[in-house]
Amino acid sequence: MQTVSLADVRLLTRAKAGEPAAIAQLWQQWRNPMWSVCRAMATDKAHAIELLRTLYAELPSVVRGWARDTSLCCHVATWVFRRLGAMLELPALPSIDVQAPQMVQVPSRTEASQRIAQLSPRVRLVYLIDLFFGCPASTTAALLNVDELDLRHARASAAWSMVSGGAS
Amino acid sequence: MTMDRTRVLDLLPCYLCGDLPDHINASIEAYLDTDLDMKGRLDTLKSSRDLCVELLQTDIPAHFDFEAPPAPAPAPAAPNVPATRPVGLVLGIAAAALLFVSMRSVSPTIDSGTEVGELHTEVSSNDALLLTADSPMALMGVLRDHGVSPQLAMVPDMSAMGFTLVGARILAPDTTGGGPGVAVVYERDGERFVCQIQLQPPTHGAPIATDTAKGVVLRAYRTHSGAIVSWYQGGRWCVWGGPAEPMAMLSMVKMRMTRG
Repeated sequence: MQTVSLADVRLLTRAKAGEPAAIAQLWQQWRNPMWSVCRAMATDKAHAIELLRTLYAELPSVVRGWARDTSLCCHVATWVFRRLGAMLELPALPSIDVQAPQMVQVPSRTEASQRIAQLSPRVRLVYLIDLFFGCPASTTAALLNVDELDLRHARASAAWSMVSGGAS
Repeated sequence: MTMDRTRVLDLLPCYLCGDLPDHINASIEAYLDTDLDMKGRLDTLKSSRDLCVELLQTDIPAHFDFEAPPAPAPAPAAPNVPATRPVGLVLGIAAAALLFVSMRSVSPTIDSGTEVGELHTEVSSNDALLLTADSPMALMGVLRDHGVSPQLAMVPDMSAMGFTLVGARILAPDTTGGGPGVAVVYERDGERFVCQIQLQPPTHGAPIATDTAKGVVLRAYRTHSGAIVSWYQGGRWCVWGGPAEPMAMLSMVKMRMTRG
C-alpha cells in the first residue's frame, strides 16, 4: 500500500483549486526531473524545451483531475509518461522477454550515455520515469492502465541492458 | 518462500526499485546471502542506476523563461486529459504574475550553518519521529513508500566508516528552505551524525573552510554542537553534520566521496 504524505495532499488540494502559488510550487518541485526525462527523450535541446514547455502549459489544467489518494510523485510520473508518449508518438508498451546478461559490469559514462540512447524509446521512457520518479510499478500500471508485468519487464530489460558486459 | 537463481535474476532489477512486496524482498535478501555473484550483480545494477541518474540529472537552464501557463479551466477536467483553453485574461495575468513571483522568490529560510546544526540536533534527538528499517536499502523503500521521490530517498551506507544507521525523518519544507528533504541519522561511538538531502540550498553564509572531492566543492560551517559540510551533487544538496570539528567533517566527507 502506498502512503500519501500530508504535505502532498495539502499541496494538491491547493493546486486543484487553481491557486497559482501551489501550481508554481508543484512546478518547482518537479521541473528538474521532468526536464531530465524530456532531455533524454528529445532529439536535441530545443526539442526538449518544446516538450517541457507543453508540460508546463498543461500542468494547471491536468492537476485538477488528480486524486488525493495517490502521491504527487506518481501523478506527475504517469502524466509525463502519457504525454511524452503521445507527443513522441511512441508505440504501446511491448511485452518483453527479459534476459539477464551472463556478464555484468558498471558502464563507463560514455557507455552509459550510449546505452540509454540505444534503448527503444518506449522502454527508455519507462526506465527514465522509474529513475526520476520512482513510483511503484503497481501504481504506475494502474494509473496508465497497462499490464504491471509489462512495465516491470521493460524496467528490468533496460536495467540489464545498461550493465551488460558480454553475451546475453 | 525459497527462491532459485533464475527467479532472483528476474526480480533483481525490481528489487532495486524498492517496490516489491515485503515477503519477496525478504526471500531475495535471504538468497543474496548465499550467492556472492548475485550480490555483485545487485551492486552493479545499483552503481549503474546511480550513474544514469548522475548523467541525466540536469537542472533546467537558469534562463528558461516560459510564457505563463493557462489558468485552470472552470470545469473539472478528466484525469490526464489535456484541457480545452478558454483562458480568462484576468485570471491568466494574475496566475502569470503570481507564478512569476513565486518561481523567482523561493528563497531559503536557512542561512547559516548554525540553523542547520540546530535542525540536526533536533532530528537526531527525537527517535520517535524517525522512520526505521534494517538496512539502507530497506529504509530507502520505506521513504519511497511515504511519498519521497527517488531523488531524495537516498540512504548512504556508512557502515564502512563505522556508522550505524538509526533512521530517517522526512523534513517539512519550512525546515529546508522551502522544498522537500530527508534527514538520515547515524550513530558512531555513541554520537549522532546526520546526512540531510534536499533540493533547496541549505546554507548561504561564507563557509569557514572549503575543499573539493571528485570535482565537487565541499563547504564547512561551524555549528553549536560541531560542524556541517554542504555540497551540491546530482541535482540535490547534501549536508553532513555532527559533533566534530569542521576540518574533521570535511575529511569524513572527502573520504566517503573518494573511497566510496
